[in-house]
Order: sequence, then structure tokens, then C-alpha cells
Amino acid sequence: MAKITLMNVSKQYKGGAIQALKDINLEIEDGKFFCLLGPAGAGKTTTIKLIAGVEPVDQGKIFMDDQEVTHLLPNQRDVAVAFETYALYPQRTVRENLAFPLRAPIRRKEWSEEQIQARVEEIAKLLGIEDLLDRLPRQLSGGQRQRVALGRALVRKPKAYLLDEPIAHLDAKLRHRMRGELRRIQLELGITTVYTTPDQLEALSLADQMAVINEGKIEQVGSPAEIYQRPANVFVARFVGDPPMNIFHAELEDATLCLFGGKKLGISEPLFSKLASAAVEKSLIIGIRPRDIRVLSPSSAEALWRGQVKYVQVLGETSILTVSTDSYEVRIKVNSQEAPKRGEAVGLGFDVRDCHFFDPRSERRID
Amino acid sequence: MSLSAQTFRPVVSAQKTAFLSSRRLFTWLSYLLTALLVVLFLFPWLWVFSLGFKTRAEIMSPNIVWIWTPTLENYIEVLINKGYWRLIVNSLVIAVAAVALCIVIGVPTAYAFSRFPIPGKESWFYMILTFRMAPAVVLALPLYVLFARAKLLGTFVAPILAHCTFTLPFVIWLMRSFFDDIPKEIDAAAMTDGYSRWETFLYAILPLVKSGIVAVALFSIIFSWNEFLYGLILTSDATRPVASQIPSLIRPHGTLWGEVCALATTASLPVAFLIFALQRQLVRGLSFGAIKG
Repeated sequence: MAKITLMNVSKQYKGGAIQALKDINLEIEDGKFFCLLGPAGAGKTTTIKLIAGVEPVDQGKIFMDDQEVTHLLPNQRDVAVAFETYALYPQRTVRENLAFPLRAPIRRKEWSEEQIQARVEEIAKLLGIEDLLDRLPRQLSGGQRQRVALGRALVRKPKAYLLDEPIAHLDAKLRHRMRGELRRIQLELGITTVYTTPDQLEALSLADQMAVINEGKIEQVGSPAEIYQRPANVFVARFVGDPPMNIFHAELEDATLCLFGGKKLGISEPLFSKLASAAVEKSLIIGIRPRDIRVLSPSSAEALWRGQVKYVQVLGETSILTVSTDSYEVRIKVNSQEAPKRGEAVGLGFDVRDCHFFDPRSERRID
Repeated sequence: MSLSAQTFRPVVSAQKTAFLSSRRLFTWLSYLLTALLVVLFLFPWLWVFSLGFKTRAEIMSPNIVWIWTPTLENYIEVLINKGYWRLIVNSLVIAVAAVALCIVIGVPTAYAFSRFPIPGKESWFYMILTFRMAPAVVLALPLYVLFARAKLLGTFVAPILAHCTFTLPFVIWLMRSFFDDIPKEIDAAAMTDGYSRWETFLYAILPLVKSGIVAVALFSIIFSWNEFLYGLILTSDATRPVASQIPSLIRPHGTLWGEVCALATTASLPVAFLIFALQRQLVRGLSFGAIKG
């Protein structure tokens, strides 16, 4: 178990043509489940590879606990990795793949043959691959291979697990179950885990701490609640939350916010002065979550906007409405029973307390 | 409707027959070509093979003798009376030792070329490859002087090392492409599984190129076995490989064709046998990418 620290870490590929990571600073606390959330190509896999020591760091330092590991080889770092590309040993059976880490010469004294077999069976059962133990990787489906790759990481108890999208290729039901299993194992063993995913829901539901990464830069670090409730910038606001946050421009006027469509929203004096000092030529970016918008009758006095329901997407209990107003399409999450019909005219209202404000130039949150 | 169908149908079947017969023709042509090639390649070998079983009179006869009683006298004379069977052992010692040495050195070198960021890597790699391209004669004289100074002339060490000059580049060159075919993630996985760089090579990567190593070793053994020049000039009578000894049967009073052919046949048999026995392995080893997981 270990705390993992990345200090000003940068990484380039192809002789500097591709800047994969830019000046990354991260502190992953001991024993925590840490999710690295970001879109494809954000630098998640690169981060995992650098922590594992599989690729050299160009600039910066990596520490595990207080020991610098920047120049240590992977086998000297004692981390277990589940690779996104599986990287199974093609000529070995599933059983031998799972046993491979336990058979490493440095662990020869720790594990007897019986212990190895018992541990392999245990892990296989956990991942539901006990019937596949004598198959070769090429005889497995993608999801099965991914479980073997995950099993090869979980089979031992290292200082840290580094899991690179470890359940991305499983079907939805199995993925849900594996998510629960992973969280349970991690809580049981208390081993520091770094877990990458492009799926914000997965990150929010699994992580103790998480970071949002985009184009090689860390956008925000925090608990899932912090990230969801107080996104640090427009990117995080849009990326975390499904459907994404509604983002639009507004003007500050006297003691009011002028929204599109000309409606004015009264705001308190302290909020006004705070926004006024951050606004650029009175302009601001406002974000509001789909579930924070209320659907009203079009004639309601509270309605800030009026529009027409363009689509209704029913997700079981809740439904996502797409309402087109004069200038923007607004997404709203409502209870399915209360959902208006497609084509219906509606009024929309929200509370200023639910608004997120962002600086229009830096796109950073205004607090 | 029915009319057009009726008029249309014969046209189709005519086209079909034309197509079929042209396909059959193509098949027959390819058989013919194959047969021609087989005859072309097999004829010299059959000629040598048959001469080995003829008497000197039959060989020297102005008319080709098609039917004769095979004799073993050439074989007995050259292998037993002249004692040349020992040369087969010499060839074996030289080829096996040279190839073993080249595999032991060349396979890890190829792995290093495939995986490590060596400065000027590609230039080094093509330099090594160039050694393979050089004709043997270019190195013959320098090697002769070198081994003479080192007092290694006439020992097995001289031809073994000399054969490495062409076998080693071959091993490095071919093995690198096998290693290049293995995703680097496999190395990464083994190293994070707790294996050192060397153990990763040994336990995770080497098992993946087994068939490649067999194919490369086989080719190298054949190169070494058939090598003539170094075997001739760097060895003594006691250490000479079989291929290089054949010219000794060209005597001032005439060439002993029967013995030449008997010795040549004996020398080719192990190679022919090797290729035949390991045919599948060879093809599999040489079809790159077959080892991908």
C-alpha cells in the first residue's frame, strides 16, 4: 500500500510531436480508490504507464510513499497493471496467465505450487472465468480476455493496482457486477487503486477521489461530490453529468442577470459584486444541470424561457427533454410521469442558486 | 418475360462453359509449369545421384548409360577407404557450433534492436545487414591473416567464427522482425508482473518466438553446412568440412567423378532430410505474424 505522487510530470511521444501529458501534479492518497476520468486520447493510459514505469518520464518526478521511483523499473515498483489492450501471453492458457505474476522469480519463495493454484482458482471464480482456465487467449471473446487481464492484476497484493479501463469491454450487466466486485475487493484489501475510465458515471460511483483529465492536463481533482457539485471549469461541467450541463451566455445588468430571450433574473448584492469583478464586459458563462430546470406552463409568471419540446427520451424512471427556445437547445431531466409530450409548448424556470458561473475567457469557475 | 428468359439462358451457360474451360486450362498450365520447374531443379541433383552409383567406365562412356547395375564402390572408396566419413562429422561440428553461437548471441541482440532506444539504431542495424551482403571472398584474406596470427588456422575455431560472419547478421536480421511482431505491451505486462528485463525476455518473449528460432537455426545450419570457401582455406585435413573437400578428388590424372558424386550425395542428404522433416516448422516460422496472440 502506498501513496502515489506525481510532480510536474510531462511526457511526449514521437520526439515531441505529441505532448501526451503536460505538467501533471497528482497526489493519490494511500488506500484510496482513485479514478482518472477523461475522454479518449486525454492521457489516461500514458499516466498509468508512467506510474507503472513501463515508459520513461520526460520531465518531473514520481514518488511512491516518500521514495522516488521515477527511474525504477516496473518490477522494482511492485504495482499490478491491467492493460487496456489486455497484453495476455498468447501461448499460455488462462490458468498460466493468471499464475504468471505469482511465478516471477522474485516471488519464488513466497508462493508454493498449491498456493498458486488455489489463488488462481479463487480469482477465476471471482471474475466468472473458472470454466475458461484451460483455454488460450485467442479462444476467448474480448470481454473474457479483459477479465483475464484484470485477474492477472488482482491475483497478487501489490502496493498499488493500476487498472486501465479494466471493464470497458464487458457487457452492461457484467460491467455493473464487476464494478461492485472491484469496489468490494479494494475496500477489503485497502490497496491504493488508480482506475481510468471515459465513463463519468463509473468514476462518480467508484471513486474516493477522482481527477478529470483532458488533452494531457488535469482539469480538476476532488471527491466525486465536489466534482459534480462544483465543477472547476466548463470542460468538467460538460463532461461530468449525464446529460451534460446546459451552458449559455448571460449579461450582468444592474442588479440582474440578463438571460437570452431578454428575461432578467434578480440576484443578491454579494453575488452581483462577485460576478461583476470576474465578468468580462459584463458577459458571463452560466451552467445549469438538466435536473435543476423546472418545466412550467408556458404562461407561468416564473417561466424564464418559453420553448417547444423537440425530443423526449425516456430512460425508465426519468426522461430527458430537449426543448428548443429562441437561441439555445436546453436539456432537462424530469420524472417520466411528469414529462410533457413532443411538440408541446413549455415554460422553463430555474433558481439562481442552482447556477454555475464561469469566467468567459478562462472558462474557470467563479466562486 | 418467358421469351427473354428462354433466349437468355443459353447465353449464360455458354459463358459459364467458356469460363470453366478457361479455368481448367489455367489449372493445366500451372501444373505444366510446376512440372517444368521440378525437372529443372531436380535434374542436376538426379544426375549427380545417379553418377555416384556408376562405375568409372559407365561415367566416361561417350553415350549416356541409361540402364546399369548400381554399384556402391564409389561410396566405399571415398567414405571408408579414404576415410572421408570423418568430414561429415567435421561439417556437423562446425555448423552446429557456429549456429549455436549465433543463436545465443544473435537472439538477444535482435531483441535489443527491437526494444531498446539505441542511438543510431537503424544505421547499426543496416551495417550489420551489410556484412551479410558482402561476398565471402572479401573477408577470406583478412580472416586468413587474422586466424594465422591468432594461431587458430586449422582448428575448428577458425571456420566456426568465420561462419558467424554471415550467420550472425542473418539471425539478428530475421529474429528482429519476429520480435517486432510481438506487441510491446507483452513486455510491459511481464515487467509489471514482477519480471526483470532479462527474465521478461526469457519467460515471456522467448517462448513466443520458438518456431522462429527453429526456422532461423535451420537456415543457418544449411548455410554453414554448404559453405565452401572458409571451410577450404581456414582448415586443415583434420578439420575440413565435407563440402570443401570435394575438390581434392580432382586429381592430376583426372577427376574421380564417381567419388565426387558419391561424396556430394552424402553431403546433401542430411540437409535434404532436415528440410523434409521440419518443413512445417520452416513455413510456420517464416510466415511472420503467425505468432501474434
